Amino acid sequence: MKDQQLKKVWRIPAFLGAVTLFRLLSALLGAGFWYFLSWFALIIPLFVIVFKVWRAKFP
Amino acid sequence: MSQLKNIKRWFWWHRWTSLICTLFLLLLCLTGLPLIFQDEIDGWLNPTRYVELPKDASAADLDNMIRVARQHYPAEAVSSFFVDDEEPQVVVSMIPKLDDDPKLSHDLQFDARTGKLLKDEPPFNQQPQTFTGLMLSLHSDLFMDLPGELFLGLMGLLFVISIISGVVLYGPFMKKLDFGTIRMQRSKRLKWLDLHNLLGIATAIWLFVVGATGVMNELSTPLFGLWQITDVKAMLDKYQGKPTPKTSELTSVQAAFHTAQQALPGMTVVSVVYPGYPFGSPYHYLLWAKGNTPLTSRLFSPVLVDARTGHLAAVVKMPFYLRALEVSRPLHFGDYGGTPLKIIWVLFDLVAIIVLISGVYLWFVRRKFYADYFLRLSTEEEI
Repeated sequence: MKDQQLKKVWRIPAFLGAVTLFRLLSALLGAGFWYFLSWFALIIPLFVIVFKVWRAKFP
Repeated sequence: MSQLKNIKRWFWWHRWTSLICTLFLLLLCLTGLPLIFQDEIDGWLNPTRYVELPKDASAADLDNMIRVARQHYPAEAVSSFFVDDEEPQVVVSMIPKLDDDPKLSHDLQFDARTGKLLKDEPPFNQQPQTFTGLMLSLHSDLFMDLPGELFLGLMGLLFVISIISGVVLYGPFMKKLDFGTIRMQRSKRLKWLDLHNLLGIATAIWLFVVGATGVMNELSTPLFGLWQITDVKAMLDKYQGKPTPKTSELTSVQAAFHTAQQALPGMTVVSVVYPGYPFGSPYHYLLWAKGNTPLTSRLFSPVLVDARTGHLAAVVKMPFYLRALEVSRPLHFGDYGGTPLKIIWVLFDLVAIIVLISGVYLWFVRRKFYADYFLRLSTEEEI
């Protein structure tokens, strides 16, 4: 795969993966504000799914 | 052509690892749902009413609670007790003989502040099956103890391989598609394939982490066994031949509790295993302490206190594989970030169920579809 293509395919999945990892570890290492950040980070992949499915259903 | 061959190979792995584990993974996802809220469900079905006391009420004497427990069952032995750090309770476990089947043991629940006996539970093997107990058995060992744990661990390993191979396949598949494309209009098959890919890749890291830590949890019995026959055995070897102290020879357990607490500042002692119980030392009180931060509260440190003299014998260092096991528990259970994290766990679990079912569906309708897909890939390569 060419560089350009690699970037296009993996940009968002890599972002979602990084966000998920951040969420998993932040709640383990911290409390209070970190909890809040981690919930927020966790919701992003779910939100992306809902958004994409919604868009496909009601273009 | 070699890239196509490569993709086909990954595809083979993805198909077969997924197919073999899917049925069990579905079971794990479904039984896992209520287990996320196990504590809440148990507390709701079987509530304990505590008397209202000021928050800083002092703790009652542990030796007294043990005495009361022994008065209730003079012929039996105390095997261990648990000092809860979330609820004001002390749970004393007793067993007819220390080397009996642990299923014969039974609990006496005390109020940690008044020292009053609250509940006298029947032995574990006579208790009615609880809902969460049933779910836990289905989730962790299929009622088969160690063989069941290892089997489900193997299924988890296949699941992890299928996630990795799925992520590898995602790359070539999405070459011509924008992220999140769902082709609704063309065919049911395409729609579900796109959904499978989107849901799978968006939750891939969660699936991987929960899958891998689940495998780790299924290995806890052999890992603790390994520790027992290596480090623990080496540590206890010098006490070889000394008899286990009789009940009348035991030093104050309250004092032992205090000694261990002093030895580990910044930690909380949460349980004590009596000498002679198979999960402890023949000669010591074994006390388990845990840290006070979200991470260190998952890391337990064992402390040995000589059960005859009450002297501190050792603060035991846990090996790396048990540390890894301890850290993998919260990452699997999702119980380390309050209720919102648990709800998020439920949502991810539901997405995982859709990924599993859509995967099986895609396998059913596979043949012509994949022939076309591989044909397309090979013509692309020729160009």
